[in-house]
Amino acid sequence: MKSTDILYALNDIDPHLITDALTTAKPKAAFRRLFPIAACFVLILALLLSLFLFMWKDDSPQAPTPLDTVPLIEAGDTLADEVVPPYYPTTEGGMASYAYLTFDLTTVIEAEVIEVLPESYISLDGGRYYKIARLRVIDNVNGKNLP
Amino acid sequence: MTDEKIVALYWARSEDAIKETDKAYGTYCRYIAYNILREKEDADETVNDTYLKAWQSMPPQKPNPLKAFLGRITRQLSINRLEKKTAQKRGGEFALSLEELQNAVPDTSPDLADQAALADALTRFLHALPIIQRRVFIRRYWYLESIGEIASAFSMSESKVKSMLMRLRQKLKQHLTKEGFGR
Repeated sequence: MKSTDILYALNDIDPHLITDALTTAKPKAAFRRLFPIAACFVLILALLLSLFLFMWKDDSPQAPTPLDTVPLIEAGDTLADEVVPPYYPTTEGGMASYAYLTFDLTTVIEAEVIEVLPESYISLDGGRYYKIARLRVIDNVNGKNLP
Repeated sequence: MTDEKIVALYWARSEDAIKETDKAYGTYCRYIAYNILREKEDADETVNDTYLKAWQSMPPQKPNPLKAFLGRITRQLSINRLEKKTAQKRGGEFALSLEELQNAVPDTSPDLADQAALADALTRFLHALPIIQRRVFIRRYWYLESIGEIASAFSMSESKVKSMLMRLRQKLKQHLTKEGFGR
């Protein structure tokens, strides 16, 4: 083979290569080609996510729903066992507070509300908000006088 | 005028076929011819020969793309014309390209038996190259542009073009050896 063979054989290469060679524009890197599409996609995703989060109810303290069925207590109240559920609901304005302690309240028979913790909220059922208070347990099934 | 309409003029044996071809691709063909022959008169004559050959080819051919079809004819005719000139008059980019491509010929390669197979191998080689390298190679060895012209077209330095072409020739040599063109 000689170099002239290569030069002549080049005449018969794919014709599209021949016409394309006169283009001098640099091909866009794949990244630069795809970036606008990816950016739009991310933007739409962010928009949908923020819409979703906006519609989602969060747990930040809002005005809690007044509870009709659960008895309300106030600071200083002594709790009898028949009104001791695990948790006590509260309302705004200090009408009542309810207690949430770290030990199992179902064993409490009688407890006294000592202090209502301000700005404290927990949410137990969807839409129901409760304040936290400290109780002095007067009596429970085990007879222990818990703090 | 579109390529299809120009080809239709050839098929209809209309005199406007040559006129429209010259309008669309005359500059392109003269560019190819001048790159090889480096003389305006020779280039013009070669382009006229190109139109004659195109007239004789269509029908039965319906080339697509027409541009590459005409370019090929011009290139081949230009090379043939140059070959007929005496050694003293030969020069320019054609001679330089031949010298450069000698480095791409595989070691101990026999005489070429099948030019079509070599053309296929070259096509495969070129398709595998990154776009810019491919364009630089074809501009150098198909269009026979000078290093300076290529550097200017791609906003590169001449030394960058030279080293790119050197690496491409080495790659081509390896490719042709792998394809069986070397012993």
